[in-house]
Amino acid sequence: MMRLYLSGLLRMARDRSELFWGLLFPVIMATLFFVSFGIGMDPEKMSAVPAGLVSEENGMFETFLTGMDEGILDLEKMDGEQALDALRAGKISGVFYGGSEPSLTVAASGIEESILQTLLSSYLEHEAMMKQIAKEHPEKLFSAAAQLSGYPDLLEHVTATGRSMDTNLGYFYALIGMACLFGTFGGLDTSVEIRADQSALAVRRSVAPVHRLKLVLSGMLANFTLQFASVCLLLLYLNMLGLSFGDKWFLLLPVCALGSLTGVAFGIFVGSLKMRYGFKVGILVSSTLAMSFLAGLMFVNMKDIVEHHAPIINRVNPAALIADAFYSVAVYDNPARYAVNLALLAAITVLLTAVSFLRLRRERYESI
Amino acid sequence: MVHIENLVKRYGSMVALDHLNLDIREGEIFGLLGPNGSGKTTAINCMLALLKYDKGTIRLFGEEMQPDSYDLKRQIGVVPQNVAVFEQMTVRENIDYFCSLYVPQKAERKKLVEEAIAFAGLEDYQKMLPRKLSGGLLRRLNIACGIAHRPRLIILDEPTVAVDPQSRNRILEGIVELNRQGSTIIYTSHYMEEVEQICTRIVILNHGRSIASGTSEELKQMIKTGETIVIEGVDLKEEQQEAIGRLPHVFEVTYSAQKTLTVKCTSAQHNVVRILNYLQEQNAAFGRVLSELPTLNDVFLEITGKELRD
Amino acid sequence: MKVYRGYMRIVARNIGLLCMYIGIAVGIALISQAGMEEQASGGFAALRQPVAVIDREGGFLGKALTGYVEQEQKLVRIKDEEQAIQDELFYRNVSCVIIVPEGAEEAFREGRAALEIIQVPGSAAEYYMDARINSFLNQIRVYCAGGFSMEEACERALALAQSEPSVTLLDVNGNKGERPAYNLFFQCLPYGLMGGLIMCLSTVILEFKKKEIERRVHCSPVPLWVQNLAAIGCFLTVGSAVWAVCMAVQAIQYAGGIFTSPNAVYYILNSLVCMATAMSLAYLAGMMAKHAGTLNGISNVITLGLCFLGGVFVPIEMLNGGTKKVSVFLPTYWYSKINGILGDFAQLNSELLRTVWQGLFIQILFSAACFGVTMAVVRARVRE
Repeated sequence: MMRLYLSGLLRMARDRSELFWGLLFPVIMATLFFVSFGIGMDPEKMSAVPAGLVSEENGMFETFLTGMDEGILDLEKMDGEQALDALRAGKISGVFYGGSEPSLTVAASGIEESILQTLLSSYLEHEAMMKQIAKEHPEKLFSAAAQLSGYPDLLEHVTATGRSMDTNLGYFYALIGMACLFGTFGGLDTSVEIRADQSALAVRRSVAPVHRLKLVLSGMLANFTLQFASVCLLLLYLNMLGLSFGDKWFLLLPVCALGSLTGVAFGIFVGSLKMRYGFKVGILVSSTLAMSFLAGLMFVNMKDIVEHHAPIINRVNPAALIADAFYSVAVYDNPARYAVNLALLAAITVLLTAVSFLRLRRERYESI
Repeated sequence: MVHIENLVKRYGSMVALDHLNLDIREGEIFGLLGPNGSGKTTAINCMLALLKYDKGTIRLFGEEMQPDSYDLKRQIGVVPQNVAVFEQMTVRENIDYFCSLYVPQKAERKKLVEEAIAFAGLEDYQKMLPRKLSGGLLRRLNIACGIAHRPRLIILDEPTVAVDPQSRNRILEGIVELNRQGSTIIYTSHYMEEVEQICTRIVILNHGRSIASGTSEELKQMIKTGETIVIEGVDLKEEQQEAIGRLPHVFEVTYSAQKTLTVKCTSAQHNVVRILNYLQEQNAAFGRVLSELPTLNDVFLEITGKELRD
Repeated sequence: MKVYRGYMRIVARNIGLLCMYIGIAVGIALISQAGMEEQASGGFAALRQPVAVIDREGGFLGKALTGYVEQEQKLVRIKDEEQAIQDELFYRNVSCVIIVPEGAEEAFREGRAALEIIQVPGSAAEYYMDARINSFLNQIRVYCAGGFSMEEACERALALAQSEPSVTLLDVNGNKGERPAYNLFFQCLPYGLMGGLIMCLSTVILEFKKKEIERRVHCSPVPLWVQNLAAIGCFLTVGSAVWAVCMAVQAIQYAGGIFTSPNAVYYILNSLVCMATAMSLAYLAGMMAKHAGTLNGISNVITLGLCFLGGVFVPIEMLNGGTKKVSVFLPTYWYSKINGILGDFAQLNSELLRTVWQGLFIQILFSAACFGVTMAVVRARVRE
């Protein structure tokens, strides 16, 4: 068994293009993700929202807006028609109207418009507060006004155990799930090298006095070794980029190990099916993509949406289980949830391996 | 050693093996000859428990062969029709790998691998990858991988396809040597010359059925043709052709537009002399004269009406 | 013609496989659109989220916050236990939990971070929800600084929260300011086209790249330019078919879709140009890959990279400045920009039109460059 495992590893290590791409793809993807949205993106880092100001006066509202940080608001004074034309042309996201009753006109209800609305609400609330304070406690007006100059963050963002979170982590966790599933192709090749109706090499191995389970397991373990190394490299790289996995990062290694094993087992299972090679590749490509998508690779909310509408999918989707396990360790520190995710991954792996073996052993074919 | 009785295998409506009976004795080089699609490889794959079959029994070494008959498999070496080696492993590593599936002990295996490399003449190519080898060398590697563990029974499925003459001779010599060392050989091919050259007993297959079996001589004696005489560059009228046809032991006369006379005779002495005497009497000039003894192709042709390589 | 027919035969033989690839890619685009629509409806600020407030202090601050959440969001009551909090978050029964710890009011008066907020990462509207809560809390602080007692400050802040600012929505796109659903589908379309076409067309190319077949074709008397033309012909045929399928899907799914939009022509042009980009990338990927496993990796890198950097899955507005400097060179960025314009404006003035045509032109340039580079590589390999 050791001999079979080592020779499998040797063959994979010598297939330079497979090795290169297998190690590099997740790293390239991680770099692209990091460049796309980095770790920790918040509205303060977004570009200034362009808006117009229509006002004859130079009152409090106008002062409030013109005094706004240029990083948040890019304000230009305009007349009424000019402002509406600019709004219709998309040059500005909203038009503030000054005077005694400030208002806002927008043309959409996206992020920028919501920021402008928040600014208007903020001013009106400040104005109402000052009026009330001036009416009831005029002596405290100045000390109250001093508080308006900058709102401190009165909310501390924590995880349940006190670690901070970043919403974009979901993309990276889904990427790690996808990286684990890249092992499916190695698993497929392992199956093809065992099914006598798929290759001449498999014919030779089939007539040798070696137990099928040994062939399956040795191929599986060789693929797993390479895949796991690739995922560990990815974790190291992500850590270098600044992604933190929390204090108990070592708990993520079993997740990656099981995830990689699940990917390989899935590939072996699909390889054991009776269909032509090209179609098997198609199934693997499509299913790993679908699983990664449902785990939140393209749209980070996806796992959340699936959890609401069809939670069973998250329990059988290896990519979602891996992402969830990462959440359990790095974000929630939920050992029970972590253990459940690991157990489900292990169960899927065992089931896939068992079914594959049952299909591959003692098999005679209709044609070769 | 190998006993096949009443074997039937169908691919849908097509019958690939039609109540095939074969008996292979220990120590012989058994040739399975037949055109493409006659069922040779199918018979081999059924024998090795790779293919499902519809009817019949197959026994190797007195036992029924199953996919998990590991004791039986240990005694068998297979050289498949397509080259079956790992592209990422060198020549030596490939032979060692496949030998290790049969011989787990390292020291013993090392000796066997060395012998297999020497046997196949691959000493100079040990560290090369298969993609660097020519077709002939690849075939030799393919054989080395199948016989390194010194099996009792060796099955070679068309081992000389697309192989240069030098490599082919070497392969054939090697097979004879393996037999001399004690292995029983099952050799399938559609090249009759090879089969005639090395096989001690031959079965001719056609459409999944055995149509003739015996030694090379026995097979040739089954047919009418004892000698084929070809005379080139001879000008003959029709009555002259008919006259030749009436000569003793002549049973078939063919005259082509290229002025080539082909005469088939039963086995007898002086067939050539008789024909040449006639031509001389007729003052007919002629060119080259060739006399051929019957081949397995002739056997196949007479039995089936087709050439072996159709 | 014969070479073209050869390509089409390979396509026909793999039709099941190709349909699977296209189905998955377009399916992902459709589901992403549905998810984005759920997130975008009414703007971020309008979504009411289930929120839990755990008041460990029992003072006015906690009561005020509870009242505010009840008013502005959906108040959910949960147990004050670490495991229970984690479970409620994990099962998404709440999207955030605000904890008012002991001594919060004192920290609050001093302007320190007095309350803890635990949120579900990746949940909708979390950004704006905690900004609004922070704003509410600071209003209380201002009232306190203004001489009101904590109780009075909380009451007034709650009353203030009920008032709505005067915001007028100018319906410039005919859909009350929201991008129509089909526009969101088109936003995700690059993934559908690129993901599907790269896998489909590259699979066909890999067949022709098999060593013996490649040699045989190169030994034939068919010139290289004819062979390339045949390949382009095949790509156009398959690409057009896929594009047509996408147009049909969106027309059925969204009751006419872009064909009901005054900007239908530009939608069609933008999608056709995107298809051309996808084909050029498919050609490149097919020539780079040696076999299907590598092809999958290359396809993912190209497709996901371009889609993320180009504002397909993450809106352009959310990309940071540094990223945008890279994105402007990518065809997907311009595709997303054009799609955004088409979704936001029913009438395109000259400036907007200029941006649209500029974007189309850049995408075409990119495709041409990609094709050119790939053909040069192929020619160099043939000579080798």
